[in-house]
Amino acid sequence: MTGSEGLSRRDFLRGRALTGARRDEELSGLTIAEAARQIASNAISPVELMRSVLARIQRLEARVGAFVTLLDPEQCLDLARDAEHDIEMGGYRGRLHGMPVGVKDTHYTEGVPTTARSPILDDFLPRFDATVVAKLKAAGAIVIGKTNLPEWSFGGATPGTHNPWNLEVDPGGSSGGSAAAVAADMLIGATGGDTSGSVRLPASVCGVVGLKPTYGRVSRNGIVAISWSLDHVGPIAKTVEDAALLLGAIAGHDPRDRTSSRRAVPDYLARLKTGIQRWKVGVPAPALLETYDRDVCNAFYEALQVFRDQGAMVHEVAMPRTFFAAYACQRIIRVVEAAAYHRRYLRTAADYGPGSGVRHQVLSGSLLPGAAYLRAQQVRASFVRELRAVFSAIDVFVTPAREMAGPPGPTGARPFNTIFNLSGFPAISIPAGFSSEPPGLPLGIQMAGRPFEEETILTAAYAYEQATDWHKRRPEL
Amino acid sequence: MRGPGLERDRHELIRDLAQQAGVPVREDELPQVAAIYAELLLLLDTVESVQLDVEEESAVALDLFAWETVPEGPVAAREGDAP
Repeated sequence: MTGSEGLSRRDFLRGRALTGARRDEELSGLTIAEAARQIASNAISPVELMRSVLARIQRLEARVGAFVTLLDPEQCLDLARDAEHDIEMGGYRGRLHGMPVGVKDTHYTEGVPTTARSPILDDFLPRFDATVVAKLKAAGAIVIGKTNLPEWSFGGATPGTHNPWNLEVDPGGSSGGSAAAVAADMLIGATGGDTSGSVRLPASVCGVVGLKPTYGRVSRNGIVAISWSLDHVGPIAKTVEDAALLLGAIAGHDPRDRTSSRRAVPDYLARLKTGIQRWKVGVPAPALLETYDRDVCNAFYEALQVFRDQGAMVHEVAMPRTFFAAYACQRIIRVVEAAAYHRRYLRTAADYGPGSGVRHQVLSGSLLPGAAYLRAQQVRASFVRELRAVFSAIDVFVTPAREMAGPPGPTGARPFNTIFNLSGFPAISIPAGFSSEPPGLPLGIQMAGRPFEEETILTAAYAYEQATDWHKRRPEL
Repeated sequence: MRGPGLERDRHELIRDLAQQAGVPVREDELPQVAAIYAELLLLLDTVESVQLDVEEESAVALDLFAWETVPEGPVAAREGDAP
């Protein structure tokens, strides 16, 4: 978005329409990698791609509800024309050039409303782009919309957004708008935020790929916070290759984020297709999955066979002694840090959303003693050391992406998701099947790796993806 | 103590804690805040059940992601850490 105010979703749907636009939605189904190949070979133009995505949004947004704010369609087309012109003039910026993408409505966008779905931020117009947004634009991507989330990103559901696989089902949260839009081909790619699994969970529920990078790998400058030491930003994409492309664009040091790493960003595509022959794949003991749905477990164990078929060695690993305390640490740290962030709002404004559990949570977090937070951080440090030891013996650690088919409720426990927010280790969720009860909802698996080894989990995810066809399936809308 | 008496005491505790913390908890919010606070105390019990050794307790690792610069092995003691 280039400094002009976006349209509300309602205004867009009322029809500042695509006058004369070709209503062909076919191109919206392309992945980034596919679209980039076609743009590079002049088979399609960024304008055709944009028209296709906008037509798709115009037809489906009333049913999916993925966006809080959409850029004016004519402005989207202008930006696509600019991209087309730049490419024709030899100014090709790479595979994201001309790609219509979206960002969660926690990402600051210059001159465009950024609400985090909070009434408190209703009138907030950032004066700068979040670093992630700026990096996407620098790579040539066209940010066409701000995607939906629960109030302040709290919770595992995204009210107002519908799962493209079953419109009566929630898409999961908190980056549910991004996941639903990508699954419905209303965006070619997107980003979200992940504090307790909020990229991986909705990606899994919507049958797409969600990657939470290592803490410090992607800048959080200009991102509305939940919890400073647990928040991560990562891509949501149709394929593992697309996730790698998006991560490559948004990763890297940012002097405006003091937690940002100075490590060089590798080419995440370089090792993507090298396979997992003789890799050591760690998995949790079955006892830790006893509460998981049967469909979820079946999909998980079938996935492990796919890894074996690829030449990997699958074996159980023992979780650290602090594993069961890790979830509790994450909850305490999250709510106390959120309380600190919200203190200014608690004192000056009562207008949280109606019936808001957010206000009650941050008030409760305000009441915990400082010693509780410190103890949680000490146990966290111990857990991270122990987890490092576990990961020193394996290449990748694989779990189900979530416990049940369909999204958990707002208080659903997700220990295998939250431990990677607590530890900062990278983790990715990818499609791995469909449920029988409720029928037809996507299932996923999660792969985690050592810090800054996103290449490793991408390689494992790609190997699994290429051996299956779950990622090729699309919801009928 | 059970029933209304316990609830009254819990609400009184929340009022006191909120006053000490300087945050405004409205009367109609007391039940929800008290319920979440009780849940957090249970989580805190779980956290406090973890036995940390002296080294772990003395090294207040608020440089949370020191591991970024320590590729392998235990976190080294830093100059200035308490013995």
